[in-house]
Amino acid sequence: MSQENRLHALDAARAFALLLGIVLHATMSFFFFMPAQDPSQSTTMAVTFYVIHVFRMSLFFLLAGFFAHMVLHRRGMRAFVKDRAKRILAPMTVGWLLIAPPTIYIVIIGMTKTFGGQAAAAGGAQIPPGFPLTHLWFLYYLCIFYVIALGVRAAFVRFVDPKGTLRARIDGVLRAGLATYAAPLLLAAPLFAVLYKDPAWMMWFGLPTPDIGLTPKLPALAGFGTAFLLGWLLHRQVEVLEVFRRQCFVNLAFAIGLTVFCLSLVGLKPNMMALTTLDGPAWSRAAYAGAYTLSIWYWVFGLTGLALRFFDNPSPARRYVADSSYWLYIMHLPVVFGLQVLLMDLPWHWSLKFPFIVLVTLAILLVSYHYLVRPTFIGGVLNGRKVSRRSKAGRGVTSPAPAAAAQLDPNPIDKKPAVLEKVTKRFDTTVALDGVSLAVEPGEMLAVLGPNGAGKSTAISLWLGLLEPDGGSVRVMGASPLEVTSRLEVGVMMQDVNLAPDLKVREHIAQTASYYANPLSLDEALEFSGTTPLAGKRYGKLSGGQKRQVQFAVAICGRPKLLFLDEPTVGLDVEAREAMWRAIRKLMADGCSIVLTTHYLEEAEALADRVAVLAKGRLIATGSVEEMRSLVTRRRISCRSGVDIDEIRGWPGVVEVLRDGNQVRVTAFDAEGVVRRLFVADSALSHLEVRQASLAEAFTELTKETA
Amino acid sequence: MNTNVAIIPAAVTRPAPMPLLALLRTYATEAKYETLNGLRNPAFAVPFLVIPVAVYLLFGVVMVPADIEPQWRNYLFSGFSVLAVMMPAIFVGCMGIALEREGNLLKLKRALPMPAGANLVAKLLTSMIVSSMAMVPIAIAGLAIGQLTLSLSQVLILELVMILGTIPFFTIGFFIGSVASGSAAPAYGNIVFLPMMWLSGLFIPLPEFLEPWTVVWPAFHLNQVALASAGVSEFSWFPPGMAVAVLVGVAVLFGGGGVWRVARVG
Repeated sequence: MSQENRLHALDAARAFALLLGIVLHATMSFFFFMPAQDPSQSTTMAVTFYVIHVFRMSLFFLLAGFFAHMVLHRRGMRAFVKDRAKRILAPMTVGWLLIAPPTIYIVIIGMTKTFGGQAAAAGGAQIPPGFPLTHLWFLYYLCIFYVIALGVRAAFVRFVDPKGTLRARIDGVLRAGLATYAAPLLLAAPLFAVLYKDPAWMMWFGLPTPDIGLTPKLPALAGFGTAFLLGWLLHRQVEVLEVFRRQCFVNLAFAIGLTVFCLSLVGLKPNMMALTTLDGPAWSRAAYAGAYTLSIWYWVFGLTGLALRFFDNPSPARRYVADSSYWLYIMHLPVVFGLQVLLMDLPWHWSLKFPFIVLVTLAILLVSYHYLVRPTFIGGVLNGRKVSRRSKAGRGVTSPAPAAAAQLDPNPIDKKPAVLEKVTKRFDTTVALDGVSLAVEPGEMLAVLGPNGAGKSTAISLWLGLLEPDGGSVRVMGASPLEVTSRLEVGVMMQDVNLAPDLKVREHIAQTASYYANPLSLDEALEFSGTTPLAGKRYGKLSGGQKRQVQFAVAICGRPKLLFLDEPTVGLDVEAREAMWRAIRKLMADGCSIVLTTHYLEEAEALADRVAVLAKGRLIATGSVEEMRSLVTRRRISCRSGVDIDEIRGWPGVVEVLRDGNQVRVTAFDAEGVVRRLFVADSALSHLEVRQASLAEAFTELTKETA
Repeated sequence: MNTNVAIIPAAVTRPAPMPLLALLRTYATEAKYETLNGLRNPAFAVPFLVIPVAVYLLFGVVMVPADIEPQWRNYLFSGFSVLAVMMPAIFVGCMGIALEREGNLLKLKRALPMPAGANLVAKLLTSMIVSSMAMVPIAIAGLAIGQLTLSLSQVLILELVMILGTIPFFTIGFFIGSVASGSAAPAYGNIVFLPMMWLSGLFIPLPEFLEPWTVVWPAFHLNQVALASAGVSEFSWFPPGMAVAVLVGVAVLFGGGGVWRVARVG
């Protein structure tokens, strides 16, 4: 597994730990009195809380330690301190100022409602004294761990272990411990000692959350500190993570077994009257503390392994969620608590309220993330980078062209009917258009040619406003094609379109004509497109060619000044094709600009003023049909002669020689030279003809070069 | 003298925006042809018009025990009316847009200068028209042989609320259609419609454990709003204001989601 893939997996695990916090807090009102006690109480919710609480923050601190070591080693001490100040210290301070007051206010309201009349007394008594860090305590402890880690590291490097032998030995012990499933025994020891000895330990609530008071709490330092340290050490030998991946199911089995055991001792719901004692034999307190602290590690290892096993590939959706999780977690508490307090008056069952709270919270916070955070400086602070929303350049906003260029160009850019300017468009990893600049001049027909996959339809779709470019600008009628107004003088004939089958031809034309300000009358449109005999027929009953004619009628019925025709004559018989060509020429004579895409090069040759050839997303040639043909220097010579073709093949400049009876066909670069030699070789030759290459030949030649 | 003068007149000028009146005409034309296309297709329209009134006659009139309390007949009438509006609403929404997407027609319309909302409004009006057509026979049957204790004006208010209530169901269908393909859309529509029909408690008694769950279905809320508006208080289990809020929320959520999809992906 590559280093990058491991990071994807660990990032997903970190986001999972944070987002589970939203679920955790959303369960609280259904088995506990804070922030409010819901009338619908649930053991399921209590167990959900219990299980999540076992491992969630330890998993988070393990990953935090891992990433801290990574940032320190990738970017150096100075950058590390700066980065942590920006992404941890600043959000903690600002977040606390914004979030703590409403959260505390909501908790007071909720507890007042819960405890009714004796609210002030009872509720006040339930809120312990001390500085309320709220759920942002984790940022405070992160800062403490950073300071300790940097200090201890400096001591090791300078005094204790300048040669690194001790550190290498620690790495070895860790490897061995992890490989034999024994590491949790060692890792659980500090927390076990602290909790077992603490007579005030509220056992059901496991590792006490240090959310009140600025003095660091011993259990949190022992439990989360160990996790942070382990994460830090793991990044020293990243390949060890492979063990988690391999052992993930065994670790999870241990975790589940131990948690079930713990619940059997302590009960499925907290017993508020006896939080610090256990019923049962004397050994049960030690057994519970041991099983609980061990289970923390098996959960953390199992879940990390699960992430490495299943989320070790990059996924844009997961990346988005991971990026958003920090914001979601920081902001969620007042929303979750607020909803719990609001919903406590409703007679709904908890199984309804709980998902409702989680979903509404996620919806509110994701929307706020997408619009307020991701594209703004807040996203820059929280995620270390700001993600710009769709590039504004694509919306028809262009930097003004230099004045000199504007004067030289007879039709400055906003006077051209359709313009692509340095347009780039990607689909996932494929580059469909790569910096293409192409414009349609007023009143001309531009044929866009290219082999399949060259980027023709992407170019047309951009002009039609169906796609937005990743870079560069697209203009139609002087503005972005995304605006309806830009398209008011545009007509379109696409490929593979099924118009509504049960409408009559006449109705189709009337429907589309209603989109335009000054359309042709129904009769004019029918006549112009040669569809008068079809007017009363349902579209679904027409033949393929007739459908094409109707689509042409629909395209021209709005009196367009710019018309897009995509393979207009496919499926038409010769007569209908000639009729459509006549109609198209008439449109051009009236000043309509046309963009034609076709595979049928004779059509482009017969109609187009100018040709643009695309290949592999680049514009490889543009010019008049004549210019394009002359780009290909080969010419065709045909004559009647008896000269041996093998002899001709040996002449300079000859590409190909064919004989058909006494007819000889030669393709050559130097046509004059070949003709001279032909006369020398056979003075009796007749029917001599020299011809420039056709557009089809030019096209083949051009696109072959880029292939 | 600039030699380019001859070319400049041919250059483009920015088109003027559509005048408001013309814009309204566009919306009306679009709705007219949308409805026409729908009604001309019997396979599309007939089930919506026939099934609700048929099941109402069977289960809401004929098979009702004679000794039932009279207000339950009102409740059944209201429940089957919800069925009559939500069925066309969901399926007009999902089939219409899914077929248009599949046939590239939506793409063509997006490229044409069709005003952005015209297609959506046209489909919504179509579904409201079909819903009304499905509901009128139920109203007639109810008043004639349903032994309702509701007054004519109560029935009319109920009908009116139902027609407005088409909107959230249409947006659900529209959202499905904006995500699913033409052939899959009816299946997805049924996945939403069938459970909602039974689990909203519109016309069959539900087992006790399912009763609190009726509130997740918009159909339940429409029924509550309609009954409350018509002044029927016996069956009010949910604050009507909240029910309206739920329906508006559903409409905004799914309508917004559908428009977002259609505007970007087509």
